[in-house]
Amino acid sequence: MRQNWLKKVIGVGLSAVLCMSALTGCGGGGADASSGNGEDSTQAPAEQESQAAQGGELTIGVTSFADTLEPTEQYFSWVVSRYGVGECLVRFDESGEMVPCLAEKWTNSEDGLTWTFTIRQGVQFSNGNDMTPEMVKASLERTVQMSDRVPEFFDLDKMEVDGQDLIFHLKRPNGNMAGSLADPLFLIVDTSVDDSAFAMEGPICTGPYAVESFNPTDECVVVRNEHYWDWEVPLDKVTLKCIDDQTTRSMALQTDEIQIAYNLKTENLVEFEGNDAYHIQELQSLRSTYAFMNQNGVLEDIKLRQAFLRGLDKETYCGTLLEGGATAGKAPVPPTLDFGFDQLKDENGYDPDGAKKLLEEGGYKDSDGDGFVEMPDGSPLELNFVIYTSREELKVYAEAAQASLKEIGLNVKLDTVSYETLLDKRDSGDYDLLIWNVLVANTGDPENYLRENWYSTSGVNTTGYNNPKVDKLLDELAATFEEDARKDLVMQIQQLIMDDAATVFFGYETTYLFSSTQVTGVHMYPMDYYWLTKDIGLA
Amino acid sequence: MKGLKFLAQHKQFTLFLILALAAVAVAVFAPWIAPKDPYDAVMADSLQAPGDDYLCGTDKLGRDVLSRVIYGTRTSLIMTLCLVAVIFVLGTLVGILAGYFGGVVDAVIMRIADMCISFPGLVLAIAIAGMLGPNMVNAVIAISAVSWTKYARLSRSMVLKIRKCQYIEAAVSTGTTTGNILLKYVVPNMITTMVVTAATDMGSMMLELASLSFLGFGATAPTPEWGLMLNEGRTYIAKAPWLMIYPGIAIVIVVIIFNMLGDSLRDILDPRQE
Repeated sequence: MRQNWLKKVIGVGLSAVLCMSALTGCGGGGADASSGNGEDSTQAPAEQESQAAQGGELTIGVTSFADTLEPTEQYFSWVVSRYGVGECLVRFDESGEMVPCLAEKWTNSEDGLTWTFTIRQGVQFSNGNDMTPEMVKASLERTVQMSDRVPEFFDLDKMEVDGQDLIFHLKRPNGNMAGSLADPLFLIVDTSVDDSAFAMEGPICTGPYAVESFNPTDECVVVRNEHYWDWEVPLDKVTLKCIDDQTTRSMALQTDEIQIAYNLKTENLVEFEGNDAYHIQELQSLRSTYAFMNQNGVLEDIKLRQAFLRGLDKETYCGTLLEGGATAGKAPVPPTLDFGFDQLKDENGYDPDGAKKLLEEGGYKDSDGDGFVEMPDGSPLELNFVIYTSREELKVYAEAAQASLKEIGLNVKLDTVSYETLLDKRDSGDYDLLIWNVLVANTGDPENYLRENWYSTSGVNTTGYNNPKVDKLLDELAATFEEDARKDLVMQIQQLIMDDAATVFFGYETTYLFSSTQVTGVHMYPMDYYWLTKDIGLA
Repeated sequence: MKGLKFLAQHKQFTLFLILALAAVAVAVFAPWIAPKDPYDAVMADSLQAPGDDYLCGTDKLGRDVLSRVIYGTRTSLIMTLCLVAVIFVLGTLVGILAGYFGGVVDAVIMRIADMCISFPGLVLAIAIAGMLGPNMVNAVIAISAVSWTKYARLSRSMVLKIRKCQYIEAAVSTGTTTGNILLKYVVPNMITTMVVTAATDMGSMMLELASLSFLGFGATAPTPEWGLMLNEGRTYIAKAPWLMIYPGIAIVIVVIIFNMLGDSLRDILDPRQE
């Protein structure tokens, strides 16, 4: 009997440990599942060594971002550009300056209404078709027709082709048309083929790589574009593997399952620092993390919004929790761009006592003694904060905000979803707060970013934010070309948005790029449209 | 005196009963045992290593891991007890109905049960919890929905056996009402086996609930729950391993206690073992 008992204790103990490891194994779950069919990926390193001379293969760990590769849908064109497939007329270099790409040069009329782009000769699509100015025109017309985001960039009257030139006639003056056309939304596709296949088989573009296969949330395989115009493409084949879980992505890089890992954070530094096998790059980015406040719901009340903002200790979130991985936010445009960050006055800084007072003034009282305030009419107040999983720091911001706001009596519920679901929730307005992480100067300048998010009639502004003054200044900004005047306008707009307590600006992140030293030519771009470039090869 | 003698005779059972009661005590008296408030985020003390101030360290938001583990006992035990109670009562009841009445009732209930079994349990639970939305009640519902079949099948098979016994025939022929037959003749003859099954299930159910929370379909932040804590700690595994070690140890200990308790209970109650 006694022996029996001992055996049982050991047996149960072992099985519990096994279950535990099964549990943690599961946890990588989401990501493990995607690496499940990894026969090819495990062989990748061996193959690379043997083929290094004449090409080779590479696997890059990315976070899942797109349901389809149709460039006019949502922000999916970013993926097409990042994966080295799509290119625009203009691109941004490593210092954020505009440089020619598919257009050789461009000029504009003084009023900003007419822009002339000279299309590069001798460029072919990945299927061998020639890229003519007519084809470029057709591709841009397709974008204008299919995407509802275009009006925030420019208001197109018509395009015409004159020899090798493509001329844009605009209805609304635009001082930064070249920058607008550098946004991946305007990448050039071959419209002469069946474009309904773009979504799942990838668009036909002019970039160094062409899509071989695409499996949303799993992986995208791209192969060398034999017709590439600019350079001999060094690699035969690149696999972009979606590994949403940050820990799993970091481990994948350590085990050489992937050779480049995007979106790793400060907490991963400890795993790679001082190790000669990895390059670490760091960039004070132009990305801003903020949360939309849906004014169609309970956050309609500015007092509640102000109290919310004052309850947040963003300095601590960024400095302590993220260990300096971000700069504390207060305004739409980060201090990395010179748009008067330091001069802007934030009346909604961290002030928990002020926040409580505001709630009291607004009639928000805790009448049932559960530690959370209720609406003035006595109904429960619960703010639904939607966040997504693929950026680990968003969870830190949201959970920290939840903890801080509990102090002032606001009940915040976190709803963690995938990025794709988040997009749906934003479009349907199904949120009180919704986290967003975006590149501020997507056209080389914050104008489009401000217009897209805070212009009252913008298609992606689903918060119901509407300030006629902001609209007027944004229109004025579009017609202003002189740099100081633009800066002044952007500052005024930012101040208005801040005074309206329209949005929670959490912080501006520092981005890291970790890559194996086997890989050469990996650069970080302030406009992060370019991940897989023609420069990336194997050492 | 009789009780004490019984306990002295079954030392293994006694030991694990005491341990289980200790676990329950930890849950009940959590506010007095825990050194700190499990929700109190001292952000300046983010990710402190175990030391004098914090015996088991702090998590990302500077909350005391020890207090969270202690409070986690509450969440885990309450959820597990609810879950086991639900599947025990529902499963047994449905099984008795199917077994005793047979025919159409039996066919319908058992085919539904077959359908539930044909899916891998946890995967179906994830799907259900995913549809209902993540929270603890839904996690309990989801796991109940896939676990009741075991009790239904077991109780049905026992009822089928009991129904053929002569004392049932005797009861029927003397005009005993169906309700009385079920309550006084059927249930008492099968309940011990069901109780043993439920007791041995406690541990595995606790693990399944923790798995759901770990995968984000159970408890939601900031609730202190072991599975959720493991998930939260995963990001910092290289930097702050204590975030995973302590909740992990807690799960292992409590699961072993309840498994062993169920085991020893079976040794005592189940005549077939001897």
